[in-house]
Amino acid sequence: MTTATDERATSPATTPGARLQRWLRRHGWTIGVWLLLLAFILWYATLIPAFGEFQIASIARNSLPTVYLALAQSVVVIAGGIDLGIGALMVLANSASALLMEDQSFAMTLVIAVGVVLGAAFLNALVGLVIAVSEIPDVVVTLGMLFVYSGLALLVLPSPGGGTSPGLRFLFTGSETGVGTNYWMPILMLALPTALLAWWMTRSRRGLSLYAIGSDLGAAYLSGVSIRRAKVVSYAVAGGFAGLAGIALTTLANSGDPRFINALNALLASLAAVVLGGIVLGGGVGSVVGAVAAGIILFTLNPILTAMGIDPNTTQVVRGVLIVLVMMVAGLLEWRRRRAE
Amino acid sequence: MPKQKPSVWWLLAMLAAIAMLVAACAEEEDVVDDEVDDEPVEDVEEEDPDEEEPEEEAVEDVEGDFVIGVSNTLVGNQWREQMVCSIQAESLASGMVSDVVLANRDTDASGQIADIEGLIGQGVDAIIVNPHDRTALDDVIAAADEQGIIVISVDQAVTAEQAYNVTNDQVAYGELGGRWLFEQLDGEGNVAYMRGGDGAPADQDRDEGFQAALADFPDIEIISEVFTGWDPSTGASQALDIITTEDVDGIWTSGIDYPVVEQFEAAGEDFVPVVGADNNGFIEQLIELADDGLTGAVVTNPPPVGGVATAIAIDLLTGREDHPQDTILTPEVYDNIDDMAALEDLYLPDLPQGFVATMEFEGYTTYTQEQVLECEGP
Amino acid sequence: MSVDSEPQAPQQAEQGDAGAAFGVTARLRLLIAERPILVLLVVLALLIALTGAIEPRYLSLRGLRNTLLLAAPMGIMAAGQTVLMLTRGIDLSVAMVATAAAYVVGFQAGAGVGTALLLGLLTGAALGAVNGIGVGVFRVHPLIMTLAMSSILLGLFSQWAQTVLLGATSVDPFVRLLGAGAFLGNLLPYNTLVWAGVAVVLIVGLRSSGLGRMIYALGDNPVATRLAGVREWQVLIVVYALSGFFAALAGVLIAGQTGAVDLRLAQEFLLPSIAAAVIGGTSLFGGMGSYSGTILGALILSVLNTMMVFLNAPQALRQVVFGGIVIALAWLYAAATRDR
Repeated sequence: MTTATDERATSPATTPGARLQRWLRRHGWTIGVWLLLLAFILWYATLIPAFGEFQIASIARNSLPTVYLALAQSVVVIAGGIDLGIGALMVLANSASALLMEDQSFAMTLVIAVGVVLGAAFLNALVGLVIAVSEIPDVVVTLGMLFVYSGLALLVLPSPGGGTSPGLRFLFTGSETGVGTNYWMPILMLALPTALLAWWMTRSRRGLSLYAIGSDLGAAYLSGVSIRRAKVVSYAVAGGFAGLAGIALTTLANSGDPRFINALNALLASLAAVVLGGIVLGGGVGSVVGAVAAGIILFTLNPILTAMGIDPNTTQVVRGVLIVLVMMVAGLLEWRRRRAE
Repeated sequence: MPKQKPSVWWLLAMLAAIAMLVAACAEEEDVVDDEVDDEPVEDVEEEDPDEEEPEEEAVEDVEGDFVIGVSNTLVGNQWREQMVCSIQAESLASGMVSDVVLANRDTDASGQIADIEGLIGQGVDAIIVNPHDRTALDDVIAAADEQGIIVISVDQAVTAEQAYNVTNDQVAYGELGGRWLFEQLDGEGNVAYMRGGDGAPADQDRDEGFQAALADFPDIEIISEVFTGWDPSTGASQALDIITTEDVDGIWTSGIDYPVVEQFEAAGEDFVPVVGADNNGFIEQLIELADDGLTGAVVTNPPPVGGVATAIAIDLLTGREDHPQDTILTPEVYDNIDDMAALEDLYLPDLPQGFVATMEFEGYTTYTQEQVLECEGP
Repeated sequence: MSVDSEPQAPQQAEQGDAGAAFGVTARLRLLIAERPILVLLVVLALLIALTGAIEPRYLSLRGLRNTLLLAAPMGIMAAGQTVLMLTRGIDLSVAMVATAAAYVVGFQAGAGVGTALLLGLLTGAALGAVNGIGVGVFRVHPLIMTLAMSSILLGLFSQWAQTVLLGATSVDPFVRLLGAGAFLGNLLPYNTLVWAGVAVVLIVGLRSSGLGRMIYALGDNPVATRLAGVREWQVLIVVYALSGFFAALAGVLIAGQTGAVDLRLAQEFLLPSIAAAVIGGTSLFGGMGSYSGTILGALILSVLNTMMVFLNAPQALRQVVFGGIVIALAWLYAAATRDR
């Protein structure tokens, strides 16, 4: 369906019109989500008195952690798993990086950032390994890790604090103080990792093997994909992106925050972004590009509803209803499709 | 094939449906807004013939047209809800505020920065923030200040030098309650120390005060130190374990108080002195169970800091009165031995246990209790 | 490439692990596989002994009573999770459903305790049924459906808690007695009695009723069960309604124990309720597990909580130990049952 795997198999002898149609069909959901995002941003622009660079920059940089985490969750979900520990790993990376980066030079913070990303990737690779070797369901192991990572974060940084260098803040937020009107830098930081990951997922052997184990474990095994390795890789990549999300948090807030509630909120946001982005829980279907738009939508919903003066508690209800509605429509679509086949 | 095409259209149709749904929600608000906005304008038009009046009216209009933004990062917490309501009530009572914009959701420091940026974008005149983090908001507060927005941090101080802070003195909270308890035990005995949320700044401040008090009483032993996470059910189960198995002479709680007393009753144990906060349920227990041997003290931690901050914001916006950068409100201690009258004064028989009984702050807030309960802004 | 490829049982992957060595380990493995309950009992006994070593006074009838009293609500909430996991489902809304039910009971207190309790439990079942419709009819993933339900309920009740439900937070004396009281010389908690009732109904029901067999069949092989003519969506609505009902029951007991209703009343029970079922050996891949394991899982977690109180452990350590135990027990169980 929307997987990239069957893209190759299509015959080249089709008219451009048909090709466009097929492309639309294949990426329909992703395109739809991006259109929805565009509509939301336009809508927001009409809601507040002054919409400009400041707002665009604000949306771009503040959705960085959610987007990175959505990417992380996407990779695991596409490979047929689910990572409940991902938010806690972000909090751990946030706490550790804020602790280490305080009062360091730009070069040093850059080194620490790379170290934290690699460290997070390594930790989560171990989680993937445990899942692959023990054959315990992903949900169980990562539920356990949700607590372990959160505990570690509290051990590393007992209370909010720490800091980072202005240079690193510029790198992620486009401003040395974390607040400003430069939106190119955060948009670049959104686009670059997304593009790299999307390319890797759909064009490299290893990336495609994640789609393969996500859609049919048995078939993937028979066609020579090492299931263990693919599983470990999916978790490692997710860990790396969770690490990146943690560092983005550090640069946004110029501090670390180890509290459990942050891990839980981030996890829920990542799950919502993944399913809204058209990635099917269960694996094998969807594009990380859709999850990015969904992540930004989920973020943009807050200022929109605040600007409309809607009671914050109603916002909570609207968000829940929105997610259910989208998923119900997706479910109906799927049902129609299956009946048609 | 064509049957599979419509997914894009489905999504677009949904978009429209969602837009309508949200718009429907908004419409109600709009109607209310319009009414409020329209009235002053009509007034001005009516009185236009008069030469002098309009000017006065216009001045009034400028003064009374402030928009206050609120940023809060914890939803579903009674104390925070009351804090927000006190902001609404004071805004309404003052008559100077045309709108209160709430950015209120469960989020972290970066989410709060985004919320404040959103409030700046909406052109509010003042922002009252209950900070998730001491230092993280420095830069966004500086950005707000550059736009001429007054930022007031409540509940907990922030490090940003542009911000005004209106806080309850949490160090004193820990120290006053601890001292009362230790004196009650004549400086000798086993104390269970039931703290709040691990890693929360307020908890650390309270710990600082508690330890300071403890240092003066060498014969007091802390036999149990647990974190309730300010969660009543967690506190209840911990308290049950502590009072039935350990040899405690007194309990200090960080505001999870009535569930603790509840456990004494449930387990059929004799009461020991308990220190808690000004929660309505705890005050009720202190009054009603005094004859059954319960002694305890309430240390106030008033949510009206929100109302106080609103009053200060309005003073600053109108230039009516200047205020120091930091306003620190010292907690009061009332026990059910000497201050029974004060407790009975605080007690609100019709309101829930979790309700914080201190609803006003003399000298600052001008609203009535009913206005807080209605929780309606202008 | 069917989207329906739900998490397939992983047995397909790497079947032959090693030539089974018939040593002590193999026999132990067989024992664990055949009698997982035994392992859990041993773990429970070890934990109790360890807690006793830390605080000797815990090893008493009163200590035992506390453990039962604190485990009962968690165990009842985990009952719903167990049934759902058998059908490859999960319920993240139990905490908010429990809170909602407790509010309803408080709100309806004027109508008499019996009516109020009935309405509260019905509310829970109804909310669960809505989850079931989303999952069963509209095929929304259970994680998402129940998560959204939780978010919606939190939003609604945050609003109502400040307005219509302002007076609904006090708890009726009867509910207090049920949630925190005990009889037989203050040693046997009433809530444990409720729990025992739930346990008997569930264990017997799952084993010998038609619905019970359908639940196991659905989790074991949904496609075959569908083909056999079972209306999957009907079963799903029933099991989600059951989960809502159990959550409501737990919510009432928690309210009785805490003495007041608040918005975060049952929040701390959500993840432990899942963990208890997982520790008890209920597989999230469906079709495997029983409620007796979950009961022990809830007891283990309850003893663990008590131990942490006596250790004066900081939250950090508590979380690491908690997470570690979940993974370790799940691993032990998986390793033992893999070759079956």
